[in-house]
Amino acid sequence: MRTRMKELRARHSLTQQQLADKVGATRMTMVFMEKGDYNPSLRLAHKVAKTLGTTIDDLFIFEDDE
Amino acid sequence: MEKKTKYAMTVIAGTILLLLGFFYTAAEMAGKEISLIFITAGATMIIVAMFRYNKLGAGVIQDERTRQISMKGISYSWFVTFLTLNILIWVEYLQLAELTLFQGLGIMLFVMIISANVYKYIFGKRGVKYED
Repeated sequence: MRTRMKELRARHSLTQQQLADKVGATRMTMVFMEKGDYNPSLRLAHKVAKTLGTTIDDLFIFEDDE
Repeated sequence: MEKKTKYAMTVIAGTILLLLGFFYTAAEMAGKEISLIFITAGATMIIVAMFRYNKLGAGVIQDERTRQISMKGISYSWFVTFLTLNILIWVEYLQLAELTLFQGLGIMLFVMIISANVYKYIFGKRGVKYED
């Protein structure tokens, strides 16, 4: 799984800490999510997508979708 | 010193005291009173520091990932403790060492606390990844 988090976060000029604070998570969770090393819950994925002005579908890219 | 660092230092110092207390108890190196003082002081320091840290709103310190790490760490720790219990039973059965009930319980408690924290550290670094 890959994510577009880093790209979208940069577009919104947000640091990992700022994004983490907005979605109520720790910075490390954002780090792992960005690397695709953590599969978040649907709720957290939705919060992140909403904060970054996108949809879950657009934010996460699964290998079998490519 | 930054508040966050101060509380972290207090938790570390408390943990050291707590472990020393358990170690002294298990190894019977010091009197029961001294071990008890170490355990009580350590536990108090940890609880107070954590309570103050949360109260002052130092940001999010726990979320779904850290809770998953804790749960995974605790379940692995349970397994290690279970293995230790088996080893202790065989040690007793084969009379390889003479352990008192108190020493046995002390070892179990020590293994449980240490392994839970070690696993939490490992999973914290590695992340919790669920693959199909």
